[in-house]
Amino acid sequence: MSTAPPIAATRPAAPPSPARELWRDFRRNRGAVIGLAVLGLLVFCALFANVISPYEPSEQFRDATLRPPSLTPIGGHVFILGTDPVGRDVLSRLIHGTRLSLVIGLVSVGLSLSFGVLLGLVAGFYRGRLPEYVVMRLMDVMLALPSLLLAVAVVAVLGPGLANAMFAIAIVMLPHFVRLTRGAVLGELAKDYVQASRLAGAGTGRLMFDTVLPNCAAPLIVQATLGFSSAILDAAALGFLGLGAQPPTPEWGSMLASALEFIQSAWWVVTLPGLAILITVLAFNLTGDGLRDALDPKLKT
Amino acid sequence: MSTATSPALLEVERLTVEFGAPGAALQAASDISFSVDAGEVVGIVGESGSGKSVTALAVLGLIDAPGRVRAERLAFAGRDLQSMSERERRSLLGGEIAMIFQDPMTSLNPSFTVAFQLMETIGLHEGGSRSARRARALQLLKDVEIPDPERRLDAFPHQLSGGMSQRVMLAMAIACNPRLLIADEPTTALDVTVQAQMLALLLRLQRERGMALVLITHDLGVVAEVAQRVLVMYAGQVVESAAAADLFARPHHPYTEALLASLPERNAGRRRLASLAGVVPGAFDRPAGCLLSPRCPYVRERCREIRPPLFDVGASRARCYFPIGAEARP
Repeated sequence: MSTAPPIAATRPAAPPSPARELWRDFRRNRGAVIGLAVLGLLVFCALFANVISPYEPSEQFRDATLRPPSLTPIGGHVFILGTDPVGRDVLSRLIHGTRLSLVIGLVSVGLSLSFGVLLGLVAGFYRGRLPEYVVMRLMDVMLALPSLLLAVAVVAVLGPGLANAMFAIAIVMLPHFVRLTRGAVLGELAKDYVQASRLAGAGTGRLMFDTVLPNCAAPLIVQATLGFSSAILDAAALGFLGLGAQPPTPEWGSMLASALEFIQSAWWVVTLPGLAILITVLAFNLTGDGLRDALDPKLKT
Repeated sequence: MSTATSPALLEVERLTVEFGAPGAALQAASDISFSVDAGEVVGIVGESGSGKSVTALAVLGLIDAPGRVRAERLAFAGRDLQSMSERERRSLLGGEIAMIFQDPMTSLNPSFTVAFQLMETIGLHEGGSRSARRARALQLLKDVEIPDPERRLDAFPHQLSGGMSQRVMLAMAIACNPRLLIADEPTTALDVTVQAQMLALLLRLQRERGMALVLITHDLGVVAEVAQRVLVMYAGQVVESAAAADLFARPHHPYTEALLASLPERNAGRRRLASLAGVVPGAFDRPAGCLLSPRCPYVRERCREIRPPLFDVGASRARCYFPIGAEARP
């Protein structure tokens, strides 16, 4: 009779930390990784715009207007992506535009997220009572208006300008965050740990922010990432309509608008800002999708 | 303040819980009276929807609007729970009454580690330094017999099995040495083998700590083993309350009798289990008389007309005009 081989008394490996687990799941999605890499590049451009852009964004080279992209120097200057109708370097303007776009995304999403989460928590916790009705009906009204129309209306009231455009975009995105938060809160409130926490003596404020909110974070993170792209898109649209950033600010939407009449003769002044918007929005969307796949346990196998 | 007989730990008199618009409200629990003495094990049995959990939640003040709770008396350790402020009530209940829930998978906060949640509870009621709280958390995990407790401390709830989650929840419940533990179907979601372990653990902790235990379950076998007194609920009412031994030996209410007759152990050799015809009346088709009257094998004319109150039947109480093994009530 042979004895069974001794079983090594090793401890099972410790489960991976949540951050590592997230990265492992995120990495599986190649598109998301590419999106994240592009985002990294954009953030780099935004942070170091002053260093890496060849010229000042509003510096005008009067003898080099509407030059096509080329590597040959003109009057001692190289315009890799050409110049616009008043002789400003398109590349420099695009790089500085990145900074603006990211700030627009950050500010509008930040504003919208913080107020949206607050209102959503209130609506979820006071379900079936007055606060919920007031908040949710207001959000329904806001959702009933086309988003760009609402943004235009808000800017029309506040006056055109970058700050007001960001505020308008935050308002437009607000209902999405409120509804998302409320939905997540309602889902969590039905779970026993909330009851247990209440029983242990937690008050409403503690329940809202310490107990329930962390468990609603996943969908909010995803929505915030995707909200970045729609904020950038809306800001570009407002800029294009002349309601957002005002010239000579190198904002991509207003760059498009000011070069519109040259679309037939000088493709680069219109195409390149458009491409910048496209790439940025795509990067945010890819990253957002990847995050959703990684964070949503329902999709995990 | 001195009273001749010390009051029961938990006193509930004529408790009613209603949902829905006044006038057309559904009574999820109606006219419930019971008391729990210190160190006593009381079982509440009944089928799903009979009002067991709602009763427990109402006692703890966890029924939210639009639900409404009314009671003639609701007191813990002689202190009236209804007249005290929300704040007082929270601090009293948090330390003295604990509850564990049915579904172990949702009863721990998924965002935080076991240690964090245990230490939070300990910190709320005892305070102490971080390391002291952590040591206490570890001791609690040992008390609830979790294997490899050091490693489980830093685990997140999704890394635990159902049985382990249930133990962690129990550890959190006993963290502040409660005098009353309400266990709402603590074994329902577990494997049969784990059920027995969990029940044994629950009882050991109850005895060691002298806690009173209210055990809500639909497993009569469990109640027979552990409870000193039993409440049988049907459609939101207590239909019989009795000492456990009496209840199983001499059921007085037809529903209790039918419930006992349906146990597989009492149906050995038969091809079908005994059962009552019909279903529990829903919210809006409750009969005018006794709620069991449409299904009761002994039903008489009076049962269909006037809803019976609880009558004393020997040492037990039964909500029946014609209790089994006793004289008819007027």
